[in-house]
Amino acid sequence: MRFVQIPVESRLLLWAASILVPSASRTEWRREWDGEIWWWIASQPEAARSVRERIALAVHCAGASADGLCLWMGDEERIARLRKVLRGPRACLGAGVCLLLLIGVLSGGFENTRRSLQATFFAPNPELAILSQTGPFMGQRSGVPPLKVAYWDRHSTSLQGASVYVIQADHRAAQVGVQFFKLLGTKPQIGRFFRSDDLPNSRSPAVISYEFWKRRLGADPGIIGRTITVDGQQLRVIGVLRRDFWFLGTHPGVWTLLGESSLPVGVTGAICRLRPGIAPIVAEQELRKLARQVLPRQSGTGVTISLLDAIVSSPIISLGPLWIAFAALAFALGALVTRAAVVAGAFLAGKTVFLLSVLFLGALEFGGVVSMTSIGGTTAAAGMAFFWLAIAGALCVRWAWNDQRKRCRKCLVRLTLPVRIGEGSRMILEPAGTETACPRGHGVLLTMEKNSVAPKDRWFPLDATWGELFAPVAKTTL
Amino acid sequence: MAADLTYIGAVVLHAIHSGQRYGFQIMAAIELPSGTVYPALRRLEKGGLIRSHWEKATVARAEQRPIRKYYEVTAGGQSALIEAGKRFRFPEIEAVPKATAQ
Repeated sequence: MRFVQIPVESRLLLWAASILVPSASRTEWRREWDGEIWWWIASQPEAARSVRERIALAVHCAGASADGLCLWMGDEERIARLRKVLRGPRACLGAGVCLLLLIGVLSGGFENTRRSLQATFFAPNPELAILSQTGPFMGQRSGVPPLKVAYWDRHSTSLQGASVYVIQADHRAAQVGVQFFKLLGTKPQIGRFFRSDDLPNSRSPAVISYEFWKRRLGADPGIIGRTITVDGQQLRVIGVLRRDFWFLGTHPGVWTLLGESSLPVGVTGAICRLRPGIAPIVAEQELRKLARQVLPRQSGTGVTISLLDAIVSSPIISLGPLWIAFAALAFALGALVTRAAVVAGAFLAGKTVFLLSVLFLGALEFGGVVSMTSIGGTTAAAGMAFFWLAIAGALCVRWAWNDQRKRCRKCLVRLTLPVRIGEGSRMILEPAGTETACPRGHGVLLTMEKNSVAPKDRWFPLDATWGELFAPVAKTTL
Repeated sequence: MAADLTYIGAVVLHAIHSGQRYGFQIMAAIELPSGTVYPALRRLEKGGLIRSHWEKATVARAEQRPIRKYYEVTAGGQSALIEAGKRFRFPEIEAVPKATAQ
């Protein structure tokens, strides 16, 4: 027999598919597929040589997984075992944990959450705040014009300083005022930050992030003073940010200088540092007064100062009690509680809280919730993000409640064996509905039609005399 | 089973009836991917419309190739194919003479 070499990816696909095949027929299945692949390679001279042919062969082998799945689904015992596991309450929590792990893996180990925690608890900044302008419509917030920020920076007695920032919509680059990094209280890894004698236009000075320096510039220690080209723009590198630099969950690679009269394009906001002992409300009053004196015709003279620590910590702090609540409820579920109602209540609460926590963590990692809540100019985007977050949260709660309704009131296993009862046309005398039973024989749930006059859900516990009906059928040899 | 026969199942059955007898040959004849043809073969075999058998190892050895698993249409499959023919229009498949099908 002519020997043919099967490419490694095709062999791997075949092996993965063979796992699905019931062990009793696996050898025969593999023999058939090996024969088919032999024919595929033998009948095409270029097979398994060029990339295109290798891909074609891999696609052919991927079909083996559909075949394996078909055989696996045909294994009644295996399906019954899987269904039993999936119906249990542990599968529900297991799915949630898997989702959590997936978020953790995709977000690089909850990077945003970790950095928020670090910024909040290990490097607190009680005087640092976000400045935003309050519009006339229901206190809607927006970014503050750079001119106004520069004016406040020069004339305010309650602020140590203020600086504008503009973050591009794709978060790849940002433009900031001269004082931005100084106000944040951060130090460069190498080089320096912006100075008042840096001009934004001639060979634009730029500060680059640690990741940009490492990945794009090979962590070159002599990068300071050199010119790099980013998106066709020549920039002179003056400094590199520290690895642990964090600003509201955004990660721009290049930070350039924004002139006072520049027209900002992107998400605009401003930071400020309050003088020690000055309350945000006092500073707000002064800034409003200054704005009215100098720029009386500009709309939106209302200003809001939000302390950065409060903004950053609020999602994290609100998450903490949720986790604690979940841990407590999960404990209640799995521990010494024996009363069915308490177990069911704990399971429902634990499931809901856990799902919402996972959803929130996902939003924190991928949705930029922290930055959206705090950057003034993204009010509309932040509004949409929170709208969808609220919708998703409501769906989670609804799913958790519906899932709970379809579970046994005693053992929390999903109910099965649905049977239609009654007639749809006789709503009063013979209400229609669906009857489902606990596979362990604990009871039967009668779910009535929506337009029925009878109560929607009725649970009928079954006593031990029904046990025989639900006992597993013993295997007999005929 | 005949009433439940899907179009894909019917086409595969038609291909076997036309003389295409092993997986790769059926696939090539009806130009459908392996992920469609093999599950269809399993369903047809489970439904009793086709049966399979391994060819003799000596034949394969003489031709210097791996042994093949051959499929053939059962009596139930014949009648199911006639029924399916009333519902579906099959693609044209070149009939393979029995002698070369082995």
